[in-house]
Amino acid sequence: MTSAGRAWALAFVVMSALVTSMAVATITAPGATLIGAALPAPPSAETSPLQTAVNLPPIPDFPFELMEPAVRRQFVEAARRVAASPRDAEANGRLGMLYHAYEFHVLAEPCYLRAVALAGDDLRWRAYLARVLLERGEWERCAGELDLVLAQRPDDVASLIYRADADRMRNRLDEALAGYRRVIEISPKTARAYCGAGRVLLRRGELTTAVGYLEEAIRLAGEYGTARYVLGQALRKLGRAEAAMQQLELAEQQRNEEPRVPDPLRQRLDALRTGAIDALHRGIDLLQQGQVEHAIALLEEAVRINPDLPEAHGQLGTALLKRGQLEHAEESLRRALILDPNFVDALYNLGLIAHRRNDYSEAARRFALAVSIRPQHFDAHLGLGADLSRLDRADEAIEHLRAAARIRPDDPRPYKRLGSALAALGRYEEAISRLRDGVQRLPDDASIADRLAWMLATCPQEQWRDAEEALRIAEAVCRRTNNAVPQALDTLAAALANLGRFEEAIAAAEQALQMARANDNRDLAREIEARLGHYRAGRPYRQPSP
Amino acid sequence: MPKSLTPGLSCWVLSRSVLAAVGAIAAAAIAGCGPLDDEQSATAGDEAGAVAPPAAQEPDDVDPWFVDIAEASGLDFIHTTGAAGDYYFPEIAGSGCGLLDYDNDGDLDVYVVQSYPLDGSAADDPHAGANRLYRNDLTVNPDGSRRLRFVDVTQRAGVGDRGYGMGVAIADFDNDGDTDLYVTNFGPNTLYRNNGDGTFTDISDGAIPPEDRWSTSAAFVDYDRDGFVDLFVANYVNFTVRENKVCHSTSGRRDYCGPQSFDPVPDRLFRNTGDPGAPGFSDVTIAAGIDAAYGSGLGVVCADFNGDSQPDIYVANDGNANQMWINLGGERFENTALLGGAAYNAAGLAEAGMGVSAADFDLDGDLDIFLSHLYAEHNTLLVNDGHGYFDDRTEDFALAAMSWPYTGFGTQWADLDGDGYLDLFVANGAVKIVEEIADDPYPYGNPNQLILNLGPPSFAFTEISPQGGTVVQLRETSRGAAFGDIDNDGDIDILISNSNGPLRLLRNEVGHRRSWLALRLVGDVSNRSAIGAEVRLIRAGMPALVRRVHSDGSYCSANDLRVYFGLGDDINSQTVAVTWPGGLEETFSDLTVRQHHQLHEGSGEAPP
Repeated sequence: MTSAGRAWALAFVVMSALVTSMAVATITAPGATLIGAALPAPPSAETSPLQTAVNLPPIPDFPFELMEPAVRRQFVEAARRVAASPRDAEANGRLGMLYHAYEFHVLAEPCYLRAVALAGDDLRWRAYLARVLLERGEWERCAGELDLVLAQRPDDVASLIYRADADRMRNRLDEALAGYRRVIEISPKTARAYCGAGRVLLRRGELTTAVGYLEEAIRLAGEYGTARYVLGQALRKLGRAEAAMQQLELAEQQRNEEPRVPDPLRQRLDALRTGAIDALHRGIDLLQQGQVEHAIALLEEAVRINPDLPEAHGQLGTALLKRGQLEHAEESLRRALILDPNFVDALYNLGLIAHRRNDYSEAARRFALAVSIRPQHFDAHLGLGADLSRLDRADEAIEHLRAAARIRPDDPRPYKRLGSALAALGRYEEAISRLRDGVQRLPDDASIADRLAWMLATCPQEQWRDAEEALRIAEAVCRRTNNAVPQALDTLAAALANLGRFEEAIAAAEQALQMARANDNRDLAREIEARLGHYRAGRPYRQPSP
Repeated sequence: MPKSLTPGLSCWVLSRSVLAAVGAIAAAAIAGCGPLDDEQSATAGDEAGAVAPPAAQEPDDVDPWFVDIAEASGLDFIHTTGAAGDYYFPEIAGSGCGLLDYDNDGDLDVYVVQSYPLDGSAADDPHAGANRLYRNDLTVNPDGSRRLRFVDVTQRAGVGDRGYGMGVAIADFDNDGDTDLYVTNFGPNTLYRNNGDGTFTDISDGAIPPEDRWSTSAAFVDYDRDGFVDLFVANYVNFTVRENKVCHSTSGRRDYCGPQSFDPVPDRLFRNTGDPGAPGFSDVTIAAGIDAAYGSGLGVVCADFNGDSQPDIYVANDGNANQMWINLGGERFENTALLGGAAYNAAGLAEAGMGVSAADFDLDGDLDIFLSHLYAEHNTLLVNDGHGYFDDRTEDFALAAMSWPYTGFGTQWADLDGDGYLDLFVANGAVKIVEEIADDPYPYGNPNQLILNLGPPSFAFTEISPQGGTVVQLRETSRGAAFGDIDNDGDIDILISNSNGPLRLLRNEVGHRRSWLALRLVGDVSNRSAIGAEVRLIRAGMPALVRRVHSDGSYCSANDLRVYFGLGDDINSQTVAVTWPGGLEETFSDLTVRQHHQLHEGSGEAPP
């Protein structure tokens, strides 16, 4: 909006508020707690003489032809209704809702302003106007509109929270705190209100009280990243650095979005979004949250509305792959590749499907294509490392695993796989060296240390074995994993046997065997049984030479 | 005396009411400029870029703070993203610009970064994508009036790098007395060594490990304090042209993707090998621990944030956690951003960090951070507690609402009105289609913003534009912004690079009317550019004004290495205390105001 337009809008708000305040006296509030749950009956398009005198802002103009067809149809129809009845509040408000739903906030505002002016006694339009102003960062005006809403619906939770948020954003901390506390009185399980109060109290330096509110917010909402983050900051200021760091790290792991306020008006906006892109975005969100079934439904909807979106086919393929439907997944992914031959994630996932079918040659081909398009594709390099090893192309596999280690030096998998691949070629010194790199880089990762200890204890060539170091590392790994990981106990047994301590080796191996069986890890159990035979015969275990 | 404006010039304006709020303009005026000005040789030229001599004057009712003089002064650069409908991600990132005195003639020259069509359509054009260097032929007349004239010297200087340009960093990295360049690209970066004769040599091959990822902002910093500046390079994401993704707005219109569509790539730290004869850098990213965390890096600023005299590094990332690399003694760094409150905003949310600047805006002696962000996020003010712990105080200082509608890139703390308090400038430009101008050919324009610091006790901020007046405002897709005194008149001018648009040079019309002091520091034991030096202007009974020597910050841009103090109406000679990067502390006294001074390391007095 231009500055002139902004000034005009401000002047208009004053006028529309005047109109409404005069109209309010004639309305009997039904006492609903949620705006939209029990709305006053929409008035007719006829307006009072006073309202007719108010100049309406112009209907916003937008090039609908730029939108995707399904969305365009919605807008064209809504705009047609406004054009046919420009003084119909419902038509103007509906067009505003459509703009609002698709995040055209600047264009939604004049539509709502028109609706408010034309039907000031219909609280919906003012409530929607307040929401769009909140999303535009117009907190002062938002607060003004919400005051008018709250005058008729004093217990509307959504309006109270938005009002308190607006106060907090414009640094009116006392009013914000009072607003959040009012919500807690009305609706004591509203986590957002506790978090909001905690944020205000933190800013006021009332740290201990803030901590109480924030802990309650977390208790109510479970995963609530924002509350945990603010709690972490409060604890840090209280000098409790360790507890603070714990909360901050949890905050990083959890979704940081605020829990949604129960708001029927907002839900109606969401329901208006019907385009393929919207379905795609929502499908991706659900997929990331692990809600595969719901994600598939939305992604199928996106494909149905617009079959030419490669991303929609690709994401649908990914979702179907997660559900284990390899054939359907492959079909979608191939479709994505036809539409976009460089869709690297589709290529990678096709490689994954081939890998799961044990078709390592095809998997490697697809992973290699992915790497040729995106040389930094970590997972594709890792996949190539695994599948080329299986195809006895260990030298090539090693190159890809080295690339993976360069791309993500903090991921343990490339080091471990490099160790295995190099050992398979009899290049034990290099294998041990790469595993040492991994241990140095990731000293807290027990799995790499375990692999190093195994190599030092069981290497077929004597010059690379180091019995003492192997035992030291194996014992440390077992301590770190509370003697609860069969692989670590298996390594410990091998290290003990290497030093001639067969009784202890047998005890450790038996414990490992028991755990492997309990975990239904039959392959490992078979291997441990074979090694137990060596120990019982007084022989240490050695890896077979390539 | 009212100023006449050339028709068509774009200005920011300051209303009388705002001026009244910030204090009266100094009554006393000293005509002319300091010693550096006297060294200027008059050059022929038309009157383009001419400005009246500084004089005491009352502002008009509508008084411009800035006037765009780019075109009139010969800066004819027009940026192109090369966009042709494929929506390649680098096209929307835009690029930066730099201010440096490459020819050591005492005035700032202009370096601008260019891009080209990524679809290969300009492969045969020998000029496509070439960066440009403009020499400043500033003339100062006997009456103190100035004439700015820029001459394109790219070809002669040999700095027309043709990568898909992103940013530029400047410093005298070989300590030979002239300013060198590092250019970042979407693709291989370029290191230029200044030969001292108006030409540069591209020494990228062999002098520095290749960096061919998508680099953005870079910063010279002497992190190990060995007297040679090292180099930090922020890298963005792993986009490739071949793997271009298709993204849409919520209504289905094709639009640029965001950084979430790609994986971030690690930043890099290069250590200066310290051989002036054969200057070079080695990659110490892993050895220094810098690879332990990274995001989609766009902005970087290097300074001592925790008060231990070691330069730290702060990286603004786009859509993921920022890093605060605390220097552990000159060899390794530790990222303390999460516990230190500098990784996220007050709600614990990662924001779209673009530009960044650090300065002591509240006169408590430590460095605070300002970050520019995406539309509907708001820019963020992180206030330092003196120990490297930060609070997001954006809402307390009422800075949230004013930035909410815009997407910010280049930004800097700078005392633009000469009252001693650091103001803010934000160069804005959207990265997603702006709905109000959706049918424009390039619908990403936003107005830039000038935000005034009202000083103590509240250090409150108020926006000067767009509320400032009636002059039509520039609404462009601004990205880089470089800050410095382009006409040596004692105030800070602003160079702005616009995506798919003309370069703007905003000449400051108000700062020089007040008293000021400008200092160029020259290191001896410390790095020659004195990057990392802290200068404190001592004021009786009042907190010192703190400035630091740097060229980093903002977005993909390089700033004037000189430091400026606006002094309001104080016309007395001044004393400054300097802490050099090497650790030496000295004071320099009796510095005449309204002059540029050159301070050499080791030539001051021991502090009392």
